[in-house]
Amino acid sequence: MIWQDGKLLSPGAVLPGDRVYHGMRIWDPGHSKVAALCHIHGEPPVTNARILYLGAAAGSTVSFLSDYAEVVYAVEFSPRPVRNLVRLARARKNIIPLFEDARYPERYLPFVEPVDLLIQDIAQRDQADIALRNLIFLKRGGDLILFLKLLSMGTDKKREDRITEVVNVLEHGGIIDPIVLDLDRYHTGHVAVWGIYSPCNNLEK
Amino acid sequence: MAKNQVNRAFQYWYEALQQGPADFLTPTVSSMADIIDNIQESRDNSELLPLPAWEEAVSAGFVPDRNGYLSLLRDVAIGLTIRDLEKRCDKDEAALIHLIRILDEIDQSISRLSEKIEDYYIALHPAGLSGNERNISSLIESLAKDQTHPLSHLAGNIQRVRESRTLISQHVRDYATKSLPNMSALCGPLVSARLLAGAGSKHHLAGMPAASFQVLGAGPSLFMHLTSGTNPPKHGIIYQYKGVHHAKRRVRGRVSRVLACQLAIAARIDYFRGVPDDEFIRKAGEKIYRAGKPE
Repeated sequence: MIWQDGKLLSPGAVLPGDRVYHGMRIWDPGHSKVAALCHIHGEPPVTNARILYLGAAAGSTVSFLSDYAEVVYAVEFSPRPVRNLVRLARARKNIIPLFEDARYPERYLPFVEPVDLLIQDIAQRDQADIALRNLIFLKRGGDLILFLKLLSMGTDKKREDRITEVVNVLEHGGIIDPIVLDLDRYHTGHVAVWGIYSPCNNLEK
Repeated sequence: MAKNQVNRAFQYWYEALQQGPADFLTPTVSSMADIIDNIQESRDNSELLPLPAWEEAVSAGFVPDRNGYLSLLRDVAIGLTIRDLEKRCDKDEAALIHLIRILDEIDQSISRLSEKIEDYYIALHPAGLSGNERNISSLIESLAKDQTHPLSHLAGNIQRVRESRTLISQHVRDYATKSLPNMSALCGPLVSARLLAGAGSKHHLAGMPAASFQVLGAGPSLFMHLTSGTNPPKHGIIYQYKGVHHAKRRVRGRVSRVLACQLAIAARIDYFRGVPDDEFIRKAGEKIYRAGKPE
């Protein structure tokens, strides 16, 4: 990925509203959680990857990912932002919009090929379960990045307990050594969980 | 995957498979629409086969290379998304939700602007506007008449926006009594429309428990209650119903609870039957009335 003077840049076509630095648009960590992750921890393997992005919304993060990746499958279930997502997909060659509920991966199963990277940014109570159901798309050894919005997991438990619960669910689903990264610097109340999918570990248990 | 399986999977995409692969590289618009129809139908019957890998598609001669495969997949996905968007859209419901949002926005703008105009007037005429002898609307009226006044044009505009507010609210009333007959009979068309806008759709509204109706629109104080243990909110949007906000303070919580219970039933009748149920409306109205009476 392209870094210049501490800024993360993106080589694709400039969209209206993007800030530009040396002819390339800036991938702002305050607006995109993937960029925040790059700033805080490290770059996910997006270059020339096949990515499944759940919770694409209007597609601002997806547009940046598509600059680097080979193809991005963008799943979004809310009608209003999907219109913008379709507009974006028309303008770019490697975004495939899917207007489906990520809880039911069987609905879009026929359209998605095995992917190297699964990114999920859905603010729902059952965020971890949704991720597990979508693991069928992930290649063995592929990366799962899960952005958790802690507030949407209820307020009756402590923050640490909520995170541990998610990590346990993921470990049972075959994600080895998920690391928990705090995104509070750029996105209040959000946490990223990053792990590698290796289903054989799961069978041994 | 065996070759004939590949062919079967691709039949959704290339309907006229027998005509030879060369035609499919540039599918015409009409045939593309047919293909998408086909895909949509078999997906809704959950008969859609998984897509063959791109290497198989290329070796079977359907697409020239990986880019061709992706662009085809993208065209199909975009077409399917647009179809689904159209299918999911309920015109009456969408009109109602957005008209009520526009209406509330107009109310807010009018009151903000009026407030600023009042501030201006008070600053220039510190002795005027004393007591109740002049209110804001009569001030705006007199400003609009005075052609030389710097704010006269704005005041005229505010009056015209008020007129369009009246028109829009009439439309909202019509749509709401048509689309939510039982709820409108219980708590008035405007409040029903606001509840609908808060829930997002009639489907969501019908699935909501009565307790959610009661606190719909009272989000901040509800979360304050959940996080720091303040008193729970008694009412959200339904406070705007005159039976609730005119009720005695002591019974207001009870009225809003009973109203919310009846509204939850009404929302279900509206969603699944869609016609007014006079017997239900009479009984529910009695219950709400009884809740408002102090013992």
